[in-house]
Amino acid sequence: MTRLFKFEFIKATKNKLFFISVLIGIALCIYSAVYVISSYYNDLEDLKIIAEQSECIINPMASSFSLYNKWIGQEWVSMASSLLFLLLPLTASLPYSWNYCIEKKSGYINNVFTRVNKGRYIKTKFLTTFLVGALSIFIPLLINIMIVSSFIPAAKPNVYYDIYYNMPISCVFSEMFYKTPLLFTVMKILLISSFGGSFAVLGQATGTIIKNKFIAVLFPFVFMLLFNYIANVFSENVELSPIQFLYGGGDALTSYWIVISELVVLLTSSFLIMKIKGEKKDVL
Amino acid sequence: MFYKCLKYDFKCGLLKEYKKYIVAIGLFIIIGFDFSIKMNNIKITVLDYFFYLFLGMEEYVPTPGNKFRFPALWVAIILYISFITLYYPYKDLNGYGKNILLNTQSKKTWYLSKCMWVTVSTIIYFLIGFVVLSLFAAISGAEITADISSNAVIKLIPFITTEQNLFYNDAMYYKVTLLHFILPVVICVMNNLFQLFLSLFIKPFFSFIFTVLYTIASAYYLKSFMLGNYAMIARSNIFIDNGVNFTDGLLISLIVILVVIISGTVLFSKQDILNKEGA
Repeated sequence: MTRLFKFEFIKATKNKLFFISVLIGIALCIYSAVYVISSYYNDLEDLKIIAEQSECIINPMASSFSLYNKWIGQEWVSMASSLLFLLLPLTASLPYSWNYCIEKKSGYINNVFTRVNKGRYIKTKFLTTFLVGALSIFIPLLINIMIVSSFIPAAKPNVYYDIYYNMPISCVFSEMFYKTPLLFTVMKILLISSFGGSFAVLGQATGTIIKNKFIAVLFPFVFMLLFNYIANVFSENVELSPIQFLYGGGDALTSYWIVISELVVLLTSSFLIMKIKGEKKDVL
Repeated sequence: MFYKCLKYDFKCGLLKEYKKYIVAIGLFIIIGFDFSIKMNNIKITVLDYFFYLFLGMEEYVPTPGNKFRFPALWVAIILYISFITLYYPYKDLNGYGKNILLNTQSKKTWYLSKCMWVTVSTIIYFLIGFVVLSLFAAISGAEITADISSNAVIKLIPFITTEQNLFYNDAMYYKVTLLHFILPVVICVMNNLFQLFLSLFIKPFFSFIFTVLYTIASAYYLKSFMLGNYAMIARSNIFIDNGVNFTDGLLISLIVILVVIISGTVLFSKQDILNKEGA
């Protein structure tokens, strides 16, 4: 299993589309970083002028400019952050979701199944696709945090400035955000990456049903695009769409259960589709 | 030969792709349902449904607390038709289309036929939308008239900044013309033709990503060169002072369509299609 996983993982990461996908993410993350850093320095200039005029000696607004509300996962002002989450289902499934259906279509899988156990191969494929999808968003997020933290200090958020964090006290994650902002940031990165991974496996599962590379890559995006609108129609108070609740601020993260159950549903349904369609059905 | 090619495109790119249009019907039914809920107990007309379809969003001003939320409905409508018209030309070029190209001996015919297919597919998509929404409106008891109601305008565009808002109960909705419902369709045709043009040089995935970028950028920036603005009625200068002029939009989009068709035909004629990588 380890050898198989290693082989699959190398195949997935040494792939042109993986690099392109990460590059798209990095480009959006750099755009967002440049936007927030330049607006941070503009705000500092404004504060300097106000301080000179009012003879203030301290900056009471210091904690409103923090890494914790300026990194791409928490900022909601630049176009890049909105785009990153809208494109997440596409950039996550672009690297490797298509691979299984191509292997099946070309007959390559027949040679594999004569050497490796079918179930084990499908599990490895599932795990690899999930990890590669998660990695394709994890790397850009990490780069964004590194750039932003190089210019903006990680000031501890102050609950009095909740309007600057878009994190009202009523939000389920607010306690974690104000008490342990670093832990919240790590949690959100992992959450975004996990959704990236689950979009990737959703694409892969689609590819096992509709044997088309193009549909395998684009289905998660189109599905989420339509779901994003439909979720808006049927639920006004609770945000159901991952595109919305993963995006900037914490106001949209209204329930642990919605987040966890959506993740579980995406992963299990994709896995079951792959298992039933891939394992039970004769490849020949 | 052009008509034969076109007939083939309609058969393979429209009739055989009917499942995508069934999803579109479902989407339009949900839109009708959504609008009816929003306009609960308010007297509306059938045209209000179309008004809602192309509403878009107000200008986004980045300030603390003002989160940028792209208009979910408008984005879904525009990107779904871009998705429908994305793959077929590429599939055709890497499959049976090569034989057609050999038989017709004209790349121009192939490309023009695809342009026509994109245009007709987009128009059919919106026609389906108009029919579904009209039926929905008729069933839900909306007035069947050729004007929009002031009730809908007040409810959907509470951010009117033009001076007419002083008396918009009487005057505002008279300024909404047929152009406000036709131009979004023309803009979508332009978007999809440009996507087809880009797909000649880059893979369809990337031309689609470009369409997504451009659509979101249009929602983010209220600029006259961001042509997506012309597909949002809420961005029209009849409602907001710094809004876009729809007559200019029509002119610009028609010029872009013409440029894309001509340059695409010329560039495709010079392209080596045999060495292109398959899907």
